[in-house]
Amino acid sequence: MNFDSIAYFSGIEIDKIVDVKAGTFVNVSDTILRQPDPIFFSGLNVFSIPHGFSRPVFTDALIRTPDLGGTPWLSPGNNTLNFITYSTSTHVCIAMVSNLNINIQYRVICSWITDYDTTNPLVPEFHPVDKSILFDSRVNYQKIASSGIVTGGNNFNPPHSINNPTNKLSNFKVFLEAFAGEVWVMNAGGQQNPFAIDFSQMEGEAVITSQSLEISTSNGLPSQRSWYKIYYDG
Amino acid sequence: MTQLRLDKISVSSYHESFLNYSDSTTIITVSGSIPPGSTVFSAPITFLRSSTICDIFYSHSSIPGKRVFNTGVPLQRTDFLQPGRIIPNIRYTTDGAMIIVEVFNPGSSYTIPTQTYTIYLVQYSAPISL
Repeated sequence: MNFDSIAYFSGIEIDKIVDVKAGTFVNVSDTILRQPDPIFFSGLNVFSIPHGFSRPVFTDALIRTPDLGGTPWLSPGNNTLNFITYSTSTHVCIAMVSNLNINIQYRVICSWITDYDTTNPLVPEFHPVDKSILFDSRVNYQKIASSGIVTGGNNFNPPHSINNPTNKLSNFKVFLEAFAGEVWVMNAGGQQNPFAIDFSQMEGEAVITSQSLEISTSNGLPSQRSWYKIYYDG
Repeated sequence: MTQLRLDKISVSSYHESFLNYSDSTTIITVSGSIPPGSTVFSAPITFLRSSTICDIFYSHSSIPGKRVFNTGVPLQRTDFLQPGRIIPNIRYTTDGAMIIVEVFNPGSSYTIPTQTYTIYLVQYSAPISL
C-alpha cells in the first residue's frame, strides 16, 4: 500500500500532540542565562514553562516579537531571531540567542515521546480551546513509517545508520539528549553552533537518503540518546 | 477527563496530530564567478503561516540525501567549496521565507562549479492560534 497517498490507516502511528503552551515573556528580564562555559560560549537566555508531565516531550515551536517592527512568526534555527527549544522532565524551555530586552510571544507544541522510558504514564486528553474535533480519519496526517531511540552513542562518526523503509527522501525529525535528561531539537556545529553552550553538550546532524537515515553525534556521554521519526510523507 | 497510556497506541482520537497542509519545492542554482568575500544566492518561498508550523529541508545536487534547515543547524558545510564554504540559511519574512545560500570565498575570484540546492517546504497544521 502506498501509505503517503492515503489519508489515514489505523495501523500506522501518528504523532500525539499532548499540549500547546502559549504566552509571552520578556527576554532577558524573564529568562535565566544558561552559560556553563563563559570563556568559550556566550550562553543562551532560557525561559522555562512547566509542562505537567512526568517525562520530557518533543517540542516544536514558533516565536515572534512585536518589538522589532513586527517580525513574523519564526521557527527555530532562523536567521532573524534565533532560538531553540528543549524539554526536561518538568519543563519545556525556549532558549534565545538574542540578548535584546524584548517581548517574545511563543507557541510551543508538545508531542509525546513514545517509549521514552518504561513508565508508560497516564496522559490527559488534550483539547485546544478553539477545536471541537481532535481527530478526523478523513484527513491526511504525517504518518510515522519508523521511529525509535538510538542508544549508547555520543560519537557516531561514521554516522549511525537507520533503515529508511519509505525508499524515498521522506520528512524526518531528530531530537537528541544534549544534556542528560534534556531532549533538544537536533543541532550541531561546535563553536559555530549558536546553541552550543558547553563542550560537554551532545550535538547531532542527520541526513536522509532513500535507503537510510544517517545520524551523526558528537560530545556528551555514551548514555545520552537520540530519537528519530521518519514519515511516509515527504 | 480521559487519560491514556500513549506508549502503546498508534492513534489517539483524544489528541491532535500534525495534519499535512501544504508542500512545495524551490530550486536555487549557485554558479558563476565568486569574488573574494561573500556572494548571496537567494530565492523566496511564499506561504501563509495560518496556524501552521513548517520544516524546511534542502538537498544538494552532488551530495545524496535531504537535510533539515530549521530543526537543526547544518549550516557550516565546508565540503562544497574548498577552501571557502557555503552556508544555506533561512530568513523568515512576513509572507513566507527567504532561502539564502551564501558562498564565502577567502581567496581570489573563483568560478564555482554549477550546483543546485533543492528546497523542500513542508507545512502542517497544528492546534495553534497565531
